[in-house]
Amino acid sequence: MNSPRAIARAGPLLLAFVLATHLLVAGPARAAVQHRFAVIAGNDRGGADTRPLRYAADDARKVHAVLTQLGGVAADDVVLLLNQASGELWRALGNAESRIAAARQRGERTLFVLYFSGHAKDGELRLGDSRIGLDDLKTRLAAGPADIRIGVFDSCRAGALNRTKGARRAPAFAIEAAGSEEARGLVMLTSASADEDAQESDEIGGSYFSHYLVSGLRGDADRSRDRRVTLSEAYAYAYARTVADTAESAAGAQHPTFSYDLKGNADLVLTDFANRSEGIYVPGDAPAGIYYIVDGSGFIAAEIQKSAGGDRLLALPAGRYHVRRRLADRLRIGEIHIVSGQLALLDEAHLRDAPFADDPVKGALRDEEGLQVSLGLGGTVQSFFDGPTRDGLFPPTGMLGLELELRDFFRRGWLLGFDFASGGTRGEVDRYGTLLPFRFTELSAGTTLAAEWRFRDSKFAASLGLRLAVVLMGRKFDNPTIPDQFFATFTPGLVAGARYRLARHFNLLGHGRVHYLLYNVDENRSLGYWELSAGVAYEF
Amino acid sequence: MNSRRTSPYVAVVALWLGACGNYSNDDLDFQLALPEQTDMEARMQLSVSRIDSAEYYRATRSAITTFNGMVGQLVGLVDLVRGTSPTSRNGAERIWGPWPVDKHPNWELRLVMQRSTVSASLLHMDYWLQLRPVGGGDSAWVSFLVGKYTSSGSARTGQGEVHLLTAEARAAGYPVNDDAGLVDLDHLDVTYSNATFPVTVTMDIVNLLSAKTQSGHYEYFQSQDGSGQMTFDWQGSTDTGAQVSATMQAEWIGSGAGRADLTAVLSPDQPTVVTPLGTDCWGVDSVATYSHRLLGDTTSGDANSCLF
Repeated sequence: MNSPRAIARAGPLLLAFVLATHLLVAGPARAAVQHRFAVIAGNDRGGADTRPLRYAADDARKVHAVLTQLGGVAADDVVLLLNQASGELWRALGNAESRIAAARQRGERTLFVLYFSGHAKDGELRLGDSRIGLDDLKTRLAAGPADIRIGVFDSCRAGALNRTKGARRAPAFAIEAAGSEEARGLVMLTSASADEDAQESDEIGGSYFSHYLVSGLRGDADRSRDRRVTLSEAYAYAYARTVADTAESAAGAQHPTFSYDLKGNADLVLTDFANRSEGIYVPGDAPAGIYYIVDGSGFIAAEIQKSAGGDRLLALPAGRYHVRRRLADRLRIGEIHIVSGQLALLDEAHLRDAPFADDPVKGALRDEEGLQVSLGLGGTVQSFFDGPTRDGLFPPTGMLGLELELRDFFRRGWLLGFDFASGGTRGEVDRYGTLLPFRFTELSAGTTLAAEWRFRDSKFAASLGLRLAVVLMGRKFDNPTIPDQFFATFTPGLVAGARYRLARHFNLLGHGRVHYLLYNVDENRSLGYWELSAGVAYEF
Repeated sequence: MNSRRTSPYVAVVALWLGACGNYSNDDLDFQLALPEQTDMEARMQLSVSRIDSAEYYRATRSAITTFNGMVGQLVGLVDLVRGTSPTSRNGAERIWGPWPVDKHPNWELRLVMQRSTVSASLLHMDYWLQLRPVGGGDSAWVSFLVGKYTSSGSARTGQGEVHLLTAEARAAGYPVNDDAGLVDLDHLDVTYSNATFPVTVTMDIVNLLSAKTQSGHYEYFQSQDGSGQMTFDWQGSTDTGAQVSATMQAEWIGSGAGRADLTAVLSPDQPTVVTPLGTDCWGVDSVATYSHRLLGDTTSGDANSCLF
C-alpha cells in the first residue's frame, strides 16, 4: 500500500503523464481562446499563535505579475489582495464568479485561478485574525461557474485540501480522454502535504513553492520547448525544485501535492510566451547548471536550470538583473540588461569569476531571520538652523537616549523605531542688554518608520524614513524671580540612518535627522532643527 | 491676592495636544520691566543699632525701614504676577488674570502690560493693575496701580513710575480700608531711576484731608561708592489744628558714618522761615560724635567731627 508521501512524490509524474497524453491526442490548446480570471491573495499574518510570514504578500505579487504578463489574465480580470481579511477574499470571489458567469453566457470559455499564500492551520486559512475553512473554500471552488478552476495554496498543511472529499488524489485519478472535448473541472495544487510546513527562503525572498512555480511559469518549466508552460510542466518543475531545495532544511523536505477532477482532454496552458520576445535567452552552448537571475532588490527573480546542449528561454520583464552561477569553488557572476521587447542573450563571456563573498544575492549570507529587535544606547546632538533661535531661545544641546528598533516588523526591509532621549545645556538670552543665564533641558520621544537597505554581507545597512517626535523643552533661569518656561509640541521629520554590525549581537548605529517645529508662543514661527546621533545597539 | 503658577499637569496635557507652552523671550521683556524691591529700596550701610546710637541715626534708619516697607508692599502687588506666565498674549500686550482676590473673593484683579516703544536699545512699558467686581464687564475695570518704565542701557535699568490709586479704588467700592495701612491714603506716587548713579527714588504720600498727617515726601539718592542721602518730610496738623511741616535730611558715606538735620516750618504763614531743630553726626559705629538740639540749646561732642 502506498503511503501518502509516496503518492505525493509520484504525483507530479502522474499528472505530467496524464496531461501530456491529452496533449498528444488533442494538441496544445490555445490559452488565448479562454477568458481568464484570477483572485490572488497573500497575507503575511495569521493571527494569534502564528508567527508572521515574511514573503506571503510578495509571493502573491509575483504570481500576479506572471499571470498578467504571461498568463493571459487581463488586468481588469484579476484581483490582488495583500494582507486583506477573509471578507475581502469572499467578496473578490463573488465578484469574479459573477463576471465569469456573464462571460459564459456570452459563450466564452473561462478559466479561474485562485492563489493564496499565507498561514493555514487546523483546517483553516488564516487571513490576519480572520479565517476561511478549507472545506468551505474548496466547495466554493468546486461549484464555481468557470469551466476550469485552479486553486493554488501555498500554505502550511494545505495538503489537507487534497485529502478531503470532492477531488481525487493524483494516484487514483482515471483518465477521461473524451476525444476533442474541452477540459472542464477543478485542479488543486498545494505547496505542502497535510502534515508539512510550507517554508520560506530569505535567499529567494519568497516561499520555495511559489518561487519555483513562478520561475517555471516564466519558462524554466517549459520541457516541451514550445514556449508554453502547461500546468503539468509548472507543477512538475515546482515539485522537483521545492523538494530538492528543502530536503536539507531543518524543517525537512516539503512535498507539494495536487489533485484534480477534470473532464475533457485539453491541456491547461498557464503561460504562453511564444509571441513574446522579452526575457533572457541562454544558448545551447552555454555551460550547464543553474543560473540565478537576481533582481535589483537582491532577490532571486527566477532560475534557469540548463542542461548541457539545450537552450533555455526565460520570460522576464525589462530591466537590469544580476546573473549568478555557482561553481564548487567560486561564483560566475555578471549583469544582464533586458531591453523592452527584446531578448537578452546570456553570454558566458560576460560573466566573471567572483568569490562567494560577492554573491549578488543579498540574502545568501544572512543569518537574520524574522523580526529583529534591538535596543540601543547613544548620544544625540541637536541644533536649530536659525541663528537667533539657536542663540537665545533653544540652544544646541546634547542628549542621551535609548532606541528600540524593530526590523522587518511590517514587512521585510522596513524598520520601526522608538526612541527616547533626554539632555540639557546652559544657555543665555540677551534682552536689551540684560543677560539672563538659564539651564535648558529637553525630553524627546519619537517613532520612526523607515525603509532599510542591507548591503552585501548585511554588515552594513542604510535607512531612510519618517520620524514623528514629541519634544518637551524647558528652561530654568538663574534669576529666581523669572518663572520656569516650557514648550511642548509634536515635530515631524526625515531621518537617515546607518547601521554597521560590529559583532553578532552588536550594531553601531548612526542617525541624521531634520525636523520641522512649529513655535507658537509669541508668534507662529516655522523652525527647523537637525540632530545627529550615534550609539551601540544590542540585537536580541 | 492670588497667583496661578503653571501646573505641571499642563505640561503633560501639552504632550497630547500639540504645540503649547510658555517658552517666550518676549515675556521676559515684560517681566523684567516690572519693578523689583531692589530697584526702589533705600540702602544704607547700617551699623548694629546700639542703645547709644545717635538719635537722628535711629530716626534715619527708621525712616528707611518705613520707606522700604512701603516700597515692598507696592512691589508685592506686581510680584504676584512677575513669577507667573501671562494668561494671554496679544502682540505687544500681555495680560495676567483675571484672578479672584484672596481677601475679597467678590473682586478680581488683572495686570495689563503694553510694550509701546521698542528699539534695539529702548524698551518702554506701561502697566495697570486693575480691579473689578466679579462678573463685571470690561468697563468695570478700575486701575488700582499704574506704572510705566523706560529702559536705558539694559532691560533691568532705566526710569520708572508707580502710582497707587487708592482713592479711585475706594470710590469704585473696593474695600481699600480693610487694609489698615491704606485707611488714610489718597494716593502714592513713586519714581525711580537706576540707569546711572546716583540712583534716585522719590516717594510722595498724599493722605486724605481728614488724616492727621496730610502728606509725606521721601527722596533718596545713592552713589556708586555707597554714600547716600535720604530726605523725608511730612506735613500735618497739630492737636490745636496748626499746620506744621518737618524735614529730616540725612547724608552718609559708604561706611555708614553720616549726619542728619531736622528742620521745621512752624508757621504756615511763613513757609520760608525754616527753624533748625537739631543736628546729629555719627561715626561708623552709629554713636554720635556731635549732637545739637534747639530745644534746651544742648550741645555735645565736637562739631568738627561731622563729615558734612
